[in-house]
Amino acid sequence: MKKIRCLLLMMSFFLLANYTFGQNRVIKGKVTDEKTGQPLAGVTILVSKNKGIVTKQDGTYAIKLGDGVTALTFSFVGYTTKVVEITSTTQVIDVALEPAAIQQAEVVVIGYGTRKKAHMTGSFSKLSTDQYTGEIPVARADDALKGKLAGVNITTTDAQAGAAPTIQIRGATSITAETNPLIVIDGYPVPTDLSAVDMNDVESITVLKDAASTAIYGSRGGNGVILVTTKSGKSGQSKVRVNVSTGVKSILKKIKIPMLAEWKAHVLADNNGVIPIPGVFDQAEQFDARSDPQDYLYRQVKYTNIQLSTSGGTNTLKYYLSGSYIDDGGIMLGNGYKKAGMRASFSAKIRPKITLDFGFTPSYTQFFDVPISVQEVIRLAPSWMPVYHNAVTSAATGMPIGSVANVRDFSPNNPKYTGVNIAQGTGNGPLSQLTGTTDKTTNIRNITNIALKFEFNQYFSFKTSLGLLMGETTRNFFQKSWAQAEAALDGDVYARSTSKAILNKARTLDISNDNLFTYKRVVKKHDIEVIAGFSEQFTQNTRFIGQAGNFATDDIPTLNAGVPQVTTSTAEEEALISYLARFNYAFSNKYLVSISERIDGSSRFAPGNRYAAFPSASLGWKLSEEGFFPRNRILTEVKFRGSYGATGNKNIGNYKYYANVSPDYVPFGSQIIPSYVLTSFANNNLKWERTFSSNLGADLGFFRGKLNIVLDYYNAITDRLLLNLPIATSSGFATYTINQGKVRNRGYEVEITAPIMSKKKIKWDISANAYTNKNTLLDFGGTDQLIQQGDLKRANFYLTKVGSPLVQYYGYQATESVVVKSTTNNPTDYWPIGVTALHTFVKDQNKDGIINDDDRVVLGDPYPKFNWGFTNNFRYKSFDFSFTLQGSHGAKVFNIDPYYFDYQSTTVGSEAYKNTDLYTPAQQQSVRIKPNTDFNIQDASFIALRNLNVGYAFPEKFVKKLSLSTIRMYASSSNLWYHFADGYTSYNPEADNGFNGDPLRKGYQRGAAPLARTITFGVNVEF
Amino acid sequence: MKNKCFFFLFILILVGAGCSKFLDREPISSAVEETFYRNTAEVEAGVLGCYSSLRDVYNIDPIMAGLRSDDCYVSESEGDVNLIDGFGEATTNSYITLYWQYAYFTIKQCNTILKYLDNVAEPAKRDYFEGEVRFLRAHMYFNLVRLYGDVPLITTNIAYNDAGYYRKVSKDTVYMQIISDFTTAMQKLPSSWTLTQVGRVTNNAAKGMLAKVYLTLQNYPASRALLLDLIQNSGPNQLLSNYKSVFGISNEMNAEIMYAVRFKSSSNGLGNTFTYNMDKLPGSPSFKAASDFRGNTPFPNADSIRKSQTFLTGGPIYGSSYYVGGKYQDPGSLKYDGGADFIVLRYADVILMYTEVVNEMDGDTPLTATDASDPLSRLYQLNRIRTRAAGPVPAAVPVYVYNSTFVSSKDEFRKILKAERRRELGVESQRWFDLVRWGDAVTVMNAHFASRNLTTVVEPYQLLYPIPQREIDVTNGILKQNPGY
Repeated sequence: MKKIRCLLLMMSFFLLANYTFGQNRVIKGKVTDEKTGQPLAGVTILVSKNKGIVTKQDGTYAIKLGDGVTALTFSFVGYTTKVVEITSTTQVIDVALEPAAIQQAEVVVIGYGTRKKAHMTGSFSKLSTDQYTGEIPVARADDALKGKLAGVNITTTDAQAGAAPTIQIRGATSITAETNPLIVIDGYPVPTDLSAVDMNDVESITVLKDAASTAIYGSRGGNGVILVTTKSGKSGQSKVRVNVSTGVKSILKKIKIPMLAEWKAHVLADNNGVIPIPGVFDQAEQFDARSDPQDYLYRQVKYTNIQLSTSGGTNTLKYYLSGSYIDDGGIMLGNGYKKAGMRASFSAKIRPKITLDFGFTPSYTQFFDVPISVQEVIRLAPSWMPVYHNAVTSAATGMPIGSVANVRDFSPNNPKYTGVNIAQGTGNGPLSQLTGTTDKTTNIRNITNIALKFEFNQYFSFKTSLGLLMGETTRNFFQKSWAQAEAALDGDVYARSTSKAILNKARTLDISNDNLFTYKRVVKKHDIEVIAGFSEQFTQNTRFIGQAGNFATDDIPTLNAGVPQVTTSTAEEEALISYLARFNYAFSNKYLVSISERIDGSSRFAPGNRYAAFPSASLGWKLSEEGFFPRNRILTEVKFRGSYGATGNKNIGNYKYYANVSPDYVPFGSQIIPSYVLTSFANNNLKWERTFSSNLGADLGFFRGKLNIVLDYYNAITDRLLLNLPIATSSGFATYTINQGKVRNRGYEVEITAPIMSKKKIKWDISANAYTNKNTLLDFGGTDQLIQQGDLKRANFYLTKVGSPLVQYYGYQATESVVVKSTTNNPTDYWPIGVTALHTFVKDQNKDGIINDDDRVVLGDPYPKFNWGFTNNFRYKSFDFSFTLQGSHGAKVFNIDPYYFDYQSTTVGSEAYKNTDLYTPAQQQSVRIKPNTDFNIQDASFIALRNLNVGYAFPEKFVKKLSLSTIRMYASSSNLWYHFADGYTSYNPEADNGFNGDPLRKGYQRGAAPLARTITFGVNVEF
Repeated sequence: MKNKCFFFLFILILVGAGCSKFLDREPISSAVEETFYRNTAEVEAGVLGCYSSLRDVYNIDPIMAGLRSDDCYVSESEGDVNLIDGFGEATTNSYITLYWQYAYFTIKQCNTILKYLDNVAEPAKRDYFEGEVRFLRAHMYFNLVRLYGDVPLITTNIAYNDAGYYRKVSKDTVYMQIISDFTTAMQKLPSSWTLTQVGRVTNNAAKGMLAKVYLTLQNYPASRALLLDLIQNSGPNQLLSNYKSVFGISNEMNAEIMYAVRFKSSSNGLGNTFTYNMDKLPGSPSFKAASDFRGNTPFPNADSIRKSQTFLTGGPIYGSSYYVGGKYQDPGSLKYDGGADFIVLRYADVILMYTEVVNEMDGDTPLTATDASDPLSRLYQLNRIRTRAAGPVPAAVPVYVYNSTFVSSKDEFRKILKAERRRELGVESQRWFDLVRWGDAVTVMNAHFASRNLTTVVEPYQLLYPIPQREIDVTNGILKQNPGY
């Protein structure tokens, strides 16, 4: 460092030597470090390319100028170059140079502060956003993080455009309480998900994983913490950035829909090989439209993302302003997502020692949810039926040519139908259902933060901040009379009665106040940081639900046009008080200590149990800083870390400790009268769920930073689970909310970063991560096991058992399918060979000759055993290339889709095994429907190319001519390539859409929306 | 400058000090037990809450007690509803689990009210309330004991983990409680309610239910006394002259209805699910009548009024199928939001119970010609039901009314009475309990399955449902499974 400075000083003198005469005015001033206020010596001050001086030892300078000089350039190694405009009257310019970002990169944002990366003792993953992350064609920030962070499992549980992915950090720690991580945006813990931020506005994201890092968030740290730091302005000339991209989205993979021949085989299989209705196949052949409902259910749509931002500022006022618009089309009919958002942030030095930060983030999102799940509509669209009535079907059904065809048109339901009763289905087809129903959710949200920071002196500061979130979510659902019914067949009265509108409004008001003292000082080899503070947070949620039906017209979707049915509203409030303190200490950069304590009080528990303490401690030892560490070129950095701490969870909803008496109604007389129903036991002993976790880690650096490996092992035990304990219902209630149960999560994580090359012409870095997590139920409130049924209609079973993962699939082991074969008393014309029915023979596990409940066994679980991600960024001259691969292995899903699609438009039956000519009574006894067995359990492993970017930056010379600083064109994609495991047959192996995220009935797929592939082209202009 | 900072600090410490109140957050949109049930109005609201939870029980009663019998079967070929219908249910069957849960939930509501009765200021109201909750509790136990056999008997407010109460109590003990509760209810309930309260239980309802309990226990004298009282002093209840007007959405809680679980469509979720289940509507599981019920043997041609009221058939929609939703129609109501009440007890049932009791006690004495006009004879009472069923012009079908010579023996009378109950009370969740009471369930159900060309065989142990597996699991086996499962 010193050498470089000397060199610079010499260079500056050289420049001075070329100094030409003819000056007629003098400008004086002093250059200081913006952070410390210390004078800077040797700063180069340039008038033009070859003319300039350097500052003296005390940072002062005096420069003589000629006419026509409009600006001075201040530059110094390790600091950001600053250009200051001057006028003809300027006489004094004092400049404070800001330390360059290269030095800041070593700092990690942690809870309530920052810490030097070298001094970190806890476990975290950090993502500094680069240009690429903002260009991935996804609508949500969380989608852009997939595969980039070890231990952070982000899954596309719903592949619809705009739907939130599930984020789980280091496994599921709770059963009843929610396990979403805490989201903190610029220090404000917001009661919302990551849809609140625009990836283009994000400077960096830090994920805190172990208790030592998250315990400072105490009660809410149990599921990990995601800290988002947004971009802020820097002093200097203002910068403008415009990023526009647009492209197309289409379905990743279609499934195979049975055509007529397969359909026939299934119908036969389901009916003991007998044609259920004479002539039904001839009839189908006559209509045979060979239509695949996927052709009109899914579509190609546009993806557009426009972002404009400007930032800049002076020494005293910095700003960052941005506006963005995303239109993420839904590939499925009825789906779509749009978001418009703005962000304004200002940082003002209102007094020499007082800084005011202000952030304002209004946004508007519009989400169209597909109102009917895929399997429901696909099975109502047999391949023989055309989408719209053609001449043949019109003649047979009496429906006008060109009108939407529904299966029920081909049944006795339709008096005009002249053909064979080909469709037992009474429902409408996909097109009617999807186009006749709208489910729109809009969200208006504004997040405001204000922070005031007082610096008492250079070590000691106080910061008070206020966060305010106001949000309103409105759901408008409207089902037209022809969506589910058909007036011509059902009669107008019935059709009208199926029309329905729902209006839900949910308003959130959240106010948070943090007050924090920070003392930071480096004295010789001691690096000390102490923080202490307290915070309060108040959240209020109000909900309104309105519903009306029997609309006289399909043209008015608002409640006023229908018969009012439901009007109700509810409200709830929550308060949280916290006290926190932390002590970070580093000695000689070798011995590192961090101790923190947080005390949280929550309104969700009874007085006496409200407060809980969440302490943590961590130690680090930087072996490579020791004198005895052998200096070598290979292993250049070694650090060991260890931590232990407690975090909490209170995500069970409000007022759970009370015996709630909930209002209801009874219809007496001719009116409805309020009634009150006792709905739960009181539990004044209810308290915080706690997770104690330990973490051991090592940071290894090779080849002077060219290869960095971070290894972690964690063991987290959550006890006193906030559990809706299943109890004997003879007590009155089915569950009791109590602190009982214990869950353990443990796993390994490795993160590798390798900035292989970093030269002017060529830059190449790769990063990779891999992690495992194994969860085990250690105690389930005194019960050894609980067998739960999933789907009521197509029963599948879930087992929750002490000593095993939280939940496992449970059922019979299928051996061979029941095959429909020829018998003597059946016609031979239509014999399907080897066609299987919806039943299967199952294994007699205990070999007692009877198939009963005792023959059920564990059939797998929904948890991935191994996850990994790989990111590659490569630039050669003007060209750049980057991609991220993500893999997940070992998880299983219970995929009911094949059962549905098998069943598509077949008629009654599915009881081939009851064919007494073929199967003995013993065989008949050993038959179960396929969903009872492992028949529907599929491998959910996958490897996905999450994004792939190719870019070209125009040469600087060319760009400069246009008075711009950057023009870059790029092509980007998401899910360009996606590999499903063998045996997986539906649209999205990550999907989980069965039971509203119930952790004890996880991994159930039923008509999950298909994954999309997006390819976009964009341009990024900066000046 | 420094002063300003300290001033700030001072304010913040003040804010922090006020924190204990800050954390006190009471429910806004619900009450809490500790501060509720304190006065007459609040206890009354709680009494009405017992009726609220009854809706859950009776939404699935048509599956548990209706579909189980030969009244109807479900078109769906799979799922838990189908398995109840076909006697193939697993111990985890959701309806078996939920019925148990809803019944005990209602019992819990009743027990809670009994605890707070002393907070009712007016003695008259206190009596009414006690009568109501004892009635509802007895009704729930009556259903539980008939569906599951021996069950845990809870009459107080127990803790969530009170294992002492997990065990089954013998049927006899449960019946003693049922009888005691209905008896108290009978004494304390009013004979009617004001117009705006119609639907709350009355002393006639308690009398009728108690009579049914005694009938089930074959305690004929006790049952007879109560029924006789109801026949002679029917109070506000009576047999309507027109069968059709007993049902229908526009004439609910008419004089014939003694006790019904009330529903209302388009009203904050107070609608029923069975109207939809029993009809042929898009996506409905569609309960249908088998040929052994809809055919000419149970319903001779002269019985067209009751037949057409019971079934939905014919026309472009129903075709040749018979759906059993005829008594629960609510045109214009939404899927799973029907407005029809579920009738638990009506005056016709009282009459039929009376004829049954009298036949059991006096049946060996042959009928005489005078019995046809003796209001207290079984023949006279049975003919009241038959006359009404024949319609407004009984002369057109004179043979429809029985005379003393037509019914030759006690057994013969039993036979025609059973057939009469079936036609009169079809799809009102009476059939299954009747079959079990008569000891006919196994034979009749096996014949029923044979008539549907199914090989299903009903075993005697299946006259009781299994105890829900979940309950056995969470009590760690203290609660024992019923034999056979």
